[in-house]
Amino acid sequence: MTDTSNLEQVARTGISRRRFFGYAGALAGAGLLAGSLIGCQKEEDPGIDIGSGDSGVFNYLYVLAQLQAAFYIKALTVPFVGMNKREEDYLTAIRKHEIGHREFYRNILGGGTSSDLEFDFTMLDFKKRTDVLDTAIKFEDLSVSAYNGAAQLISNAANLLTISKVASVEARHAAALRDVKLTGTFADPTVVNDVNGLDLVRVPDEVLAIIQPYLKKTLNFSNLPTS
Amino acid sequence: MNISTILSKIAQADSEDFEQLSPRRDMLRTAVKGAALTALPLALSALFNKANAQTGSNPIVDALNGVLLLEYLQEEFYTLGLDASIKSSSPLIPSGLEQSAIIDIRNHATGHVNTVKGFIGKKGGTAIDKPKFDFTGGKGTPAGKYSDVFSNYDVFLALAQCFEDITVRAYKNVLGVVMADNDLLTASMRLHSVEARHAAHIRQLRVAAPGPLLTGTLMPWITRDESNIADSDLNVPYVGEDNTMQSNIQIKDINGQAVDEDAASEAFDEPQDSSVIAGFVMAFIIIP
Repeated sequence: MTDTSNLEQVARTGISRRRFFGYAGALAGAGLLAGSLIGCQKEEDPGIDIGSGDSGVFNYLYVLAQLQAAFYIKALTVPFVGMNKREEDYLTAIRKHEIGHREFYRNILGGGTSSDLEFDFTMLDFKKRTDVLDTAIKFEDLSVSAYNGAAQLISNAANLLTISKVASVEARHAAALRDVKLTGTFADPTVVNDVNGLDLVRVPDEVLAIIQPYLKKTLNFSNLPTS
Repeated sequence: MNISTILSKIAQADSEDFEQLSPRRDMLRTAVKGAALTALPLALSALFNKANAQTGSNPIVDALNGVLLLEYLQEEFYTLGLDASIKSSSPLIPSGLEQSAIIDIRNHATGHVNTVKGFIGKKGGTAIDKPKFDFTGGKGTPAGKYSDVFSNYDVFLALAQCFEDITVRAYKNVLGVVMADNDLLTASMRLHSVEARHAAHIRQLRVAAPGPLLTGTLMPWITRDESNIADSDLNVPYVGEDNTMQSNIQIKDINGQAVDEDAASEAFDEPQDSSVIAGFVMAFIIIP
């Protein structure tokens, strides 16, 4: 069900074959989220299949970009009490970056009008500075660890370079927000090992467990590459 | 061609010259379209380790030696900065949070040196020796432009920013070369993200202690190809960062979203041609 309908959808959105396969030809397999699974509701919901191969990995990173974009959009719609100019400037820029990342992944996965995932942030009080900053930092550190763990799952060198361009920006975000919360914690031992200097790394399943509470739908990562 | 001629050619960072220097360049190309060499110019590596005369034969080792050089540079740079600070009555780096942050960054650089050397060893290669650095930019002569690098915090931080940002870009070149080795690739990503954290913090330090070299609005990320440094020689690490096209997708105003040109350029950090990186760091290395 998934592959045919996704490729059909790609064809319908008018993305030329050349451009689609120009993405190193490695974005084969299931591409889009959400919109491609109309009518696929089963009794035991296995969740939305993220897919396999490099496109599955991009879909995974697309989920994270959607999560972050949604979070920052909300955080700026409901600014926390006492937000200063620097904080507002940082969050505003980061929101734009995450929207940029989100739309980039949307397009590289075939574009079209597939609707975004919906998120649940009801456990957060966006009026509270600590809720917002702590969650922002959590998502950025999570993103850094996800990118670091995703690299080995990618098979195409061009796709690897592409995700690295986002990865370092996520790390800048993480450091910046950590310094906003408490100056000097940009790379503290909770994230960077103080012996070898290596940053966090997580596999997709670990990331999924952390983001699931914020997702309204279940996601299925079982077809992602494991190495 | 003698060594100083080779080096002056490298310093010009002209990739055409580089073609002449290194007939083995093709071996080091990755499949990444448009990416330049992923290792420092062969002559540069060979310079520092005569035992490594076979440079070019192991692209992974060459790529790792390239980032090792940058880690050595950072480790030494921050150590010298701390020497001029800790227990000084007029410290270069203000005591307190500023010094402790630089200590953390320096310690990470040491960890990185050791990690990269460990991988070079595992790959059967020879790590380059730590070269002699001259952070005044004078290559051992008194003529260095940055003569007050370790007495002027503004200068020190401007160079620190350049070193961190250029190292982030350098690590991106390593990834494709090492990608067949999952452990090494993952470690490389984990080193690369730490450099980006460092870069963000150095930028924050510059904003917190604005000096004559600080220009514009400096953020933790790179805006267009702005260095935010009032010194055009220090623009080099930022050339190419104004890119807003990713995989043939224009990020500016993408899908009708309010992603302006600044944000579109900031959202993605670019690799940089290794010969350009080499040209920049060469200014701070004393050639034996």
